Amino acid sequence: MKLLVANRGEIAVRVIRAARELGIPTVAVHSAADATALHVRLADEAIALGPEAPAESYLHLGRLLAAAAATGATAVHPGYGFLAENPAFARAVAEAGLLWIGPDAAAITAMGDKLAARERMAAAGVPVLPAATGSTAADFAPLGFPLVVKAVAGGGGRGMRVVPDADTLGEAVAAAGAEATAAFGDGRLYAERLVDPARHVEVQVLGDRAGRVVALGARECSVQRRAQKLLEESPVPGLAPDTLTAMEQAAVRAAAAVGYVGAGTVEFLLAPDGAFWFLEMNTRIQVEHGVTELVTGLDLVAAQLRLAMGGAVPQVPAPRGHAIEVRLCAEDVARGFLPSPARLTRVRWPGGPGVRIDAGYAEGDVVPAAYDSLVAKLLVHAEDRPRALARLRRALDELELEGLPHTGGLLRAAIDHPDVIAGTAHTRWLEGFAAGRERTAADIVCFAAAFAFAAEARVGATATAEGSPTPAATPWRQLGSWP
Amino acid sequence: MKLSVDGAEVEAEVAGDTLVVRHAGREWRFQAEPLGSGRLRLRLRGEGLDRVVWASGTTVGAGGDVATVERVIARRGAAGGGLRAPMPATVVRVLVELGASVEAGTPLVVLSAMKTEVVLRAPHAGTVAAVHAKAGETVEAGAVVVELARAAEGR
Repeated sequence: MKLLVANRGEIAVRVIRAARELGIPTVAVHSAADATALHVRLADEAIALGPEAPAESYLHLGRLLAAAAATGATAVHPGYGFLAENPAFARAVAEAGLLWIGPDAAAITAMGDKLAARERMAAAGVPVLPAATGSTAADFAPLGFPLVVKAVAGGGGRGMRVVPDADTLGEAVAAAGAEATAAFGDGRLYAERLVDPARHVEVQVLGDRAGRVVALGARECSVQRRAQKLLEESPVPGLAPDTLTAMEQAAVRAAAAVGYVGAGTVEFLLAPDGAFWFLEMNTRIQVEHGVTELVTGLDLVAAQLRLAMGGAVPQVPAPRGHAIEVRLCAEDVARGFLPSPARLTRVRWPGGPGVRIDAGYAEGDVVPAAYDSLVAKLLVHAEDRPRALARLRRALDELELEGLPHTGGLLRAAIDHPDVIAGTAHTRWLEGFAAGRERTAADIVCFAAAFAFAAEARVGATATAEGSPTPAATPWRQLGSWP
Repeated sequence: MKLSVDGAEVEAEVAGDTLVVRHAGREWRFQAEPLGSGRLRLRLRGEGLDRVVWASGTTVGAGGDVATVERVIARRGAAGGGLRAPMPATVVRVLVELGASVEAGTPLVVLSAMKTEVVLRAPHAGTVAAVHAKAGETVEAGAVVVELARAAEGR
């Protein structure tokens, strides 16, 4: 096998590492902006796709297939995002005689239409929420309030609106429909009753060609903002063993119902009383797959490769300890999570026992505006949850990630909050926590001090360059200029 | 020097290895230890404050938390009624034309970075005096994308 990795960033790096350990040669693809990116540096060979815009590079089906042909690749791993859940790409890869590392186009299609997937899941005995279909407010109102309007072709929170009452329904339906049309080219909508407060819990599954599906425990992903997860962990704190078992069985039925081969994730909403409902199935490797790897000891990317080659699902190991992941995203939390691409001026990852970094960038790299904001994932593993939290605090304190704003500071503060320590945070918790976090006078003066110091160092450097005879003997001068 | 830290007024002076910062009627005297390549360790005796800060242009940070700092004089000179891109981005749509009169809060330009759209809205009522953005173009952080002449009654 020779594996083309049709992705970039940390997931491309992750796939390349797994392949290398299995002795499989790798081909990286890249846009013009990524010619020297970390995944390109780590792969055995690399090939350019086109300009920076995703449509011209990582989303360009024809160029990806041409890259596979030009390099003699025999298999394609799509990672997550980009074309990972695009059935046309899965089909085209297979039709080109290449091995697709993932479920077949039929399974992707079955789960990609959220409405059809719901019906299929209900038929397979997987619990689903009451829903209504249609295109106008009158179609959804009978469901009762509050409700959530969602895009049939949806994902990532786009085309989704929470509607508290009948007064705002018409406006929400119009906005969601327009957003869904713009994002997916498909404005179809459906609505579900809102479960609030709810936790977001998901089950990792693996399926093989013989039709066997196994569940590898559950992950808690409730610390999120507008459907973007920022902290994930396994096992799920406070989840009753029989609820976990019921959820795992539902996930296995869900995957089996579509003949699922490979690694996938079945997402559920969990109510405070332990009731749960199917949300959707992600037919690819998940960003947060690492927490499951840490507690099971399995390499899920290697498992994807083995399952695609016809291997059997592994024995399910007994879970060991507790794992937590935080996502370090280039977003300015203080400015409403404003996406903030920039160069990483300094990077020192934490180390020591039980710490894992999955990064897409290294010091000096630019995190570009054209792609998503994930810079790195920091994962910890320890004997139990309190120790894992202590390890995560220690690791985040060690982290030096500079040059751009990121979510590390927010998450460091979040894990000291009683709700996170108790493991009871629901899906709207983080947004409230972030909004309530105020900048102190000490923060403001430290920022001012940093700027004044930089300005002073620049003045010193300029004076020297101009041949100033006696530069003042201050410690600032020895620094040279700022980047 | 007089500084604006995300809008908060601060005065900061460098005196030997001490940084004197005044803000909100209080004075802080930091012991400052340069760490090289633009980094600085700040200590405040008696308060147990010990923090590493960094600066990259007008962006300064402590860990992942950042602020935009500008010299107050420079800011006055450059402001000029322009609406600036808050981050490097691609222009998705320009929603107004030259000469259009807009209300406060009117969406003017839609930018996109990292798969997230950000809408720039009119900070006050006025007339569009210049449009420097075109759909499909990329803009740097701080670039003026639209200039807005303030409506007469707004003065």
